[in-house]
Amino acid sequence: MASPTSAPAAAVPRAWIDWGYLAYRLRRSPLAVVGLVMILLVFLAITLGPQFLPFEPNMVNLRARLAPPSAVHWFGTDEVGRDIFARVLYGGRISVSIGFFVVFLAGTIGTVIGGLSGVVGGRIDTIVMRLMDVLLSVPSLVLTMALAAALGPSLWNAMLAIALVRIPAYVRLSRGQTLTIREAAYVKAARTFGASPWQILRWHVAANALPPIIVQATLDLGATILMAAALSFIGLGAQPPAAEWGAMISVARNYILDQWWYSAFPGSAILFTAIGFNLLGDGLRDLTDPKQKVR
Amino acid sequence: MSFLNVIRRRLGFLFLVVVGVSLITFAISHMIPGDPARLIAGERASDQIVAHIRETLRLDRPLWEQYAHYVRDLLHGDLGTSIRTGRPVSGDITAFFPATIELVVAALLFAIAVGVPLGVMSAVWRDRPIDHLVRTIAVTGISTPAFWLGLLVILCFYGRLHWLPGGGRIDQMVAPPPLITGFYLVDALLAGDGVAFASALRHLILPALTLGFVHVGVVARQIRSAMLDQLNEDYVRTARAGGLSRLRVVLGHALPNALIPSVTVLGLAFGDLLYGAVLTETVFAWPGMGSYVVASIQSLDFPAVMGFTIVVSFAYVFVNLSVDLIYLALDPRITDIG
Repeated sequence: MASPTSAPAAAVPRAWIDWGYLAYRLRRSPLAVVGLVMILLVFLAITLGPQFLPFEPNMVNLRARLAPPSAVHWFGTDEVGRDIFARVLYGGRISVSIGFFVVFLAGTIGTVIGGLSGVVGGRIDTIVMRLMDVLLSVPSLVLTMALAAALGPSLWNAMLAIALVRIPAYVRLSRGQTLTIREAAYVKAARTFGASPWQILRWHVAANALPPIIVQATLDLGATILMAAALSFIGLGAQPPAAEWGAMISVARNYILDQWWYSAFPGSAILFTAIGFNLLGDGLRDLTDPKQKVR
Repeated sequence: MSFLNVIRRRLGFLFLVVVGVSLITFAISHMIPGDPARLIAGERASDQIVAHIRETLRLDRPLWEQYAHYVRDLLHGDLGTSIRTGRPVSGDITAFFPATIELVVAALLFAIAVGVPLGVMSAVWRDRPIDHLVRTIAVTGISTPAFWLGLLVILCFYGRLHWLPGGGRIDQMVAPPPLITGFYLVDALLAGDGVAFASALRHLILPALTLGFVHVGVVARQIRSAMLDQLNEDYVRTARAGGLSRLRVVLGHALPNALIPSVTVLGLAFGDLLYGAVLTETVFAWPGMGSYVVASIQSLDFPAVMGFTIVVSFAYVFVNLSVDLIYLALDPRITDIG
């Protein structure tokens, strides 16, 4: 539920999310705010940051190879003298875009399948849900790896593989939501007043099913960024010259004992971003799930 | 609903998973770009050899027939032949499996040993600094790229402090214990080989800590939530009113009850650790299934990758089934677990 006011507002179209109420609740959930601030910082850094940098991410400078962090190179340089700070910022563009693309793809496809399955019901619903149970029972990293390996090592294929594996979670979520909302008294009331299935879908199902899906998506953003980095690390995602966080660490691994900064900074960037999304997701879950308020 | 019913239903689901996973891996191995027969024969092999390989692998048959043979082989425990090592995949996996299980069990023990006390403290002192600290640890755990943490740990404890070895399963100068179970620690104990035991233990510490760290938070969070449920129960208040000390009530009454629902989560954690081991093993050059599958991926060795996927998926489902049964046995009030 987006807010306690959502239930009685029967057939009146309204905003999907009650922003004022959300802001009020956010103030009472400090960790979610910390997460939000962290995410905003990441966005600022990766969008505006590179504008102010004197270095391009792929600018080679063989005279400054593997230089430790300094006033010029904040995060040091790599084995061909590229500025690691610049590469971390550009890598953030890649990683965060991967996260949003994958979650959007999986979220949309999964939500639509789940919603339809819940509405149609019957044998089709049973088959779809059994299929999703099977997919959910296979460890996600293993399935993603197998898929990405079969598709061939590239960033694009890794993204597709991660998205495919994430779909079942959304199918389950949105089906469950659809089934619950379909039976709710206010939906029956709206139907009595002559609302069409489409109107019910738009006004009630979308409004009430969306918050938990957004929560899931926020938590998934962190998980997806971690997964993409892991795939790149074992050579299945972005390929090394690319300034992607996981790919950078996979090269930096060879320099771990002598040039700590090379792997430390890209890894910290992953950690920071993932913590941000997870805190925000946890906070949003507490806000949207009335049962968890006590905790 | 009884024990038997649950087993029957779960075995039915296990069968579905077998069919599903075999279909998925079969489909994936047919998605590979290029000709698998050519891949096996090598670039310079004559067309005749390639044709022969295609025939022995039945790649010239219709798809359904290939799938039928694939499933028949699976049921016979035949996962195909690894292109990279030239040995049967099932044999390779059997050889690498104990190393992975040893690592996973050690990591799980670490996660429980640290996670349970943290979770209890977090629940008892709810909303106090310790609670916030534990929740922060939990979020950090699930947000940490395990492969990166492994690198940092190697840098710190091996590179700088020289306390522990940075990779491998046993010192190169130490002979591995005689193969009995495949678990070095167990085998060394059985053989009474103290040197091998110490070396294996020292090699196990860093990878197990790295792998377990992610799950410390998961365990702590679960225990916290279950403990909060128990601490609100009437029997806790009664016990306190009856004069029992707080410590005694928390550890003697609430904790055992909180552990029961947590068993499920521990089972899930075991499954997660099993495939989380893939990354940890790669970083620590741990000779387990994870290192095997990553090497296989890098050399496009599909029979090996698919064999691994199947084995781990089954292990995952099987562990969850066992955990549900344990859950059922621990709490007689629960009669249906879906």
